[in-house]
Amino acid sequence: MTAHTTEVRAERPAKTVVYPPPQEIDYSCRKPLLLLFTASVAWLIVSLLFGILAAVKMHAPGMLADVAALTYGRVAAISSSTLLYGFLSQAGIAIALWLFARNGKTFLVLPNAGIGGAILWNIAVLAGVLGIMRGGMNHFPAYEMPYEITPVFLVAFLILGLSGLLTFVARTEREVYPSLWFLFTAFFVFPWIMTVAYTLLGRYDVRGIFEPIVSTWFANQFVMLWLAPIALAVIFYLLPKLSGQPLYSRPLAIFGFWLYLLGATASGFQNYWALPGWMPTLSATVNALLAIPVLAIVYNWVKTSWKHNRARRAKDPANKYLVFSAWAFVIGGILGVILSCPAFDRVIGMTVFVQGSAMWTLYAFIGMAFFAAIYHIVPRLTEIDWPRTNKVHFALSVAGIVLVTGALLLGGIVQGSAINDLNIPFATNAAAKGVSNRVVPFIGISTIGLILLLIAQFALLANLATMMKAYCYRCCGIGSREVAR
Amino acid sequence: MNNGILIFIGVLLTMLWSWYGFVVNNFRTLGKVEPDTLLTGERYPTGRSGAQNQGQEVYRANGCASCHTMQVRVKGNGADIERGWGKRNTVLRDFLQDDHVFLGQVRVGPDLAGIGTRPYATREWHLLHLWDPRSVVPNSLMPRYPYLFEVRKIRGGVPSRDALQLAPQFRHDVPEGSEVVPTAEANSLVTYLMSLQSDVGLFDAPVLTNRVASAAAPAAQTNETAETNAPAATNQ
Repeated sequence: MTAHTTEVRAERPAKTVVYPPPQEIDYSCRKPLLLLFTASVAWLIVSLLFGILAAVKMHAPGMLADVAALTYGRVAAISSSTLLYGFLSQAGIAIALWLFARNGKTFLVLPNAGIGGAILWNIAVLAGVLGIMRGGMNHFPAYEMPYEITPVFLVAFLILGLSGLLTFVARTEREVYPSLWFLFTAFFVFPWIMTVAYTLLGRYDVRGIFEPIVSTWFANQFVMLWLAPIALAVIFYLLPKLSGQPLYSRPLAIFGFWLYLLGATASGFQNYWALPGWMPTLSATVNALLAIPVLAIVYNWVKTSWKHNRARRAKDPANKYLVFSAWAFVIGGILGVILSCPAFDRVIGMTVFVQGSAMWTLYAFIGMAFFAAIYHIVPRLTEIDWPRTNKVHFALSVAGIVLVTGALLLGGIVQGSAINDLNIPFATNAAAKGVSNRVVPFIGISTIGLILLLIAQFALLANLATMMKAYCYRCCGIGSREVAR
Repeated sequence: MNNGILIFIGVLLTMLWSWYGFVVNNFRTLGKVEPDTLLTGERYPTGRSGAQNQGQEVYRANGCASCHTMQVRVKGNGADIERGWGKRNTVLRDFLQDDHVFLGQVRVGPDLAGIGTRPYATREWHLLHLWDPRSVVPNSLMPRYPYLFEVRKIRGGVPSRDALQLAPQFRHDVPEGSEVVPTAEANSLVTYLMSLQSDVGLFDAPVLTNRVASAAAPAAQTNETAETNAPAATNQ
């Protein structure tokens, strides 16, 4: 009997999986992804334009004061919400879809529905911007668009997320890479937190004192568990891939993943001292402890890529963005620890330092990781290499990010020490320069940074347009021959 | 970690503990908080009037919270109280009767948790400040809010009772024979701002009077504090 079953088992042919060729996987993604990428870069430009307008208004408070739609508070809200929803979320979704398909070695499911989802998403962002201009803005960080638009975002995400989830389910490669754990988390968290924000901050009239808690929780999860995991997934995927090395340690990646998740879910309240004391205290502690998963994750990256095939890695235009983003993750972790120390918080709490630190996470870590992905993915979708000007984009982006965040971080220290120094009045008088006026030069420097970032994004958009034109010509004969190489 | 279901359960549990701990738990506890009964028998905080609620909507719609916080920190953690921004630290219960709470993140402008208690901040001051902040605070960074005002012809030669008393350099293209009158939005915003006081001592956020402060600290130090207080109070 035993012998018989062994015999049967031996006869069964070994299961062989036929993986589709990567080019065909890319081909299946190309339509929705190119749309999402182009639109996201366009929204980044819009965000920077409004950011510059807001910064200029700091220097010239009388400018455009008559236009209610362009008052400082609304312009600042438009800048931040187009960055978060227009650029980061949109590019993040596109990157995630590609990574789901490539990691799972399968075709993207529902690509045409994805086009619909992408269009819907952009309509929602546009409606949000108009809503803020009309005075429908919320005062919640990362949730400034009128709450009525949230269902549109959710429907758009449902379509795109379903496409991603079904791709994940249909994977032919059964081993789940670390980048997929992070993507899975992000796609799971986004609808959850958006629904909570919609119901508790918008649709239903909960008590006011409950608002800051939900909004802080939402803003933290939005960055730490929706955007950041996608950026981490990009680095976890691209770094081994470009180095031609397997990930140094999978157990270490598991350790880093779960600890990051545990810490990130309880972070975010550290600078809100008006809330019941246990919340800022818990968040500050957890935020400092987040240094452990950050170190574990970075150690893994360093061991994977430090001395391996640098020349090979440098050939890909994504490489420099990737390296910058990975180190920005470490610096972001250090900034998080600084913000959680009561001794530092006494000085820099509620100053532009907090903004600078948030900008660092959004631009230097998440934004640059997304750029790396865009630089890696788009040539594979269009089968056309980047025009040479991509070096301009990198140099200007780095200079812009360093100026913007550096100025705000330093300005925050100056501002905070001035607030705590009673010899300095808040507004400038005959005797002394005021707190607010001491910050202005730093905002000036950060404005220069924003302008550099804007020029860089124009270069990126122009490059994208060139590639698309060449692609359209080669694919369907649309457009002129000159751009096609 | 190759099993999608296991990753799903892990992520679900991690999110659940955060969601339960911060959202559900606070929903249950904060939902039951009642206004305090003070030693005088009064209730704190009292409910908001309709005008104050409308003012809160104006405050929200114009993004005032992007530059102003409403979080006076506890004495010893920063110099908020010494600066005269409030008589005590802000606690969440101060906003118990509010539809919206604007704790804010960044202090480009001063903290507003106790703006209603500052002696210079009268209704006239607020309205002039909204029309052009630099007319009352030189070098202010705050934008003007001319769209909260109506510029209209003076009817019958008698200026309106509500018209702003503007110095010539702050008339900003308002023609002669016209006056600047606050709209309902401006009026309700000012009503809301003037209601922001948070000056009632609570059990966990007592108002430290000078007597207590001088008993706790050496006399020399108290004098020093009192002197440095003066410019801070007059310069907001």
